Amino acid sequence: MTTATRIEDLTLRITEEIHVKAPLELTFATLLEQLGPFNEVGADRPLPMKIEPWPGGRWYRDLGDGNGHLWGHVQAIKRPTLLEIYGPLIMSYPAISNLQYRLSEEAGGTVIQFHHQALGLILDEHRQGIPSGWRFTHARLKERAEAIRAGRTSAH
Amino acid sequence: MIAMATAAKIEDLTLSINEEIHVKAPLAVTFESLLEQLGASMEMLNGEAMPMKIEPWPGGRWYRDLGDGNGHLWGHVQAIKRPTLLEIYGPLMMSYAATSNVQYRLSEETGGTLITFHHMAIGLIPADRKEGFSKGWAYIAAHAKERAEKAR
Repeated sequence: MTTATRIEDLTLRITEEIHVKAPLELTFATLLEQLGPFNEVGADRPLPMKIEPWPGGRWYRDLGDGNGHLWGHVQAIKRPTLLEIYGPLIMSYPAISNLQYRLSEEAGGTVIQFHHQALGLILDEHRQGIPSGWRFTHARLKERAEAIRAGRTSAH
Repeated sequence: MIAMATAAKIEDLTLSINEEIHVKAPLAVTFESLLEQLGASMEMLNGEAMPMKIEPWPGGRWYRDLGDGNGHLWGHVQAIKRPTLLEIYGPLMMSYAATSNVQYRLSEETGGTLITFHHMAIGLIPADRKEGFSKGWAYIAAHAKERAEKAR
């Protein structure tokens, strides 16, 4: 790791808007599942996580026998419109992130306003890779919510 | 759409607030009043009740409980040494990349207790929020003082 020389090197801001053709409650529940047991890092690359859906609850990878990785804590949860996470995420260096999912109804479904802000000694490989990681997660979330709404349950 | 933006200037990334509160009440009473004020008796600046919960042990949560598993986490207890130290670590009410250290150090002084307070934060803190923090902490301190002096 090299020392950051510019303020821009210390920050990361990602925003995304996801339009889901599914009701608010279903989309929120699917979001919790997608970040939890259905978490994936790529096609056919499951990385199941656990999320404790209450203020201060942990979002973590459970490796069993008390081993695992903490990605963050639930900073805010207001079903079915808000989920906020605070923590290190996957960054094994001094950094803090805020993730925010704000859900609202729109014609034909739900819109999710997402942001990820981070401050820290952020590695270049993470700066490059994290946006596509979120895009993948959100595409799967949308696909699953819409499949569940349509009565298909095979979108796992 | 995914968008990325650059950060602000380095001065915009930090916040530092210091306050000294002189309380005409014993140390233990003042400490308990402080916990009460940050917890069940928390209020907004307009006096409206905004009860919080504080789990008074290392790692305990300081949070707004909205029921049914909903709520807002403001931080975790970083240090607690009754009746001289309470330290909180966490996002507080900042819904952006930021982390804070809040520290209350209590010591005896002639006629009562001195609370030395600081709030330090680093993060992507909007400029218009900084003044609000000073007012908020001063309000909490004033009410903790009032509560302790009444209880004395």
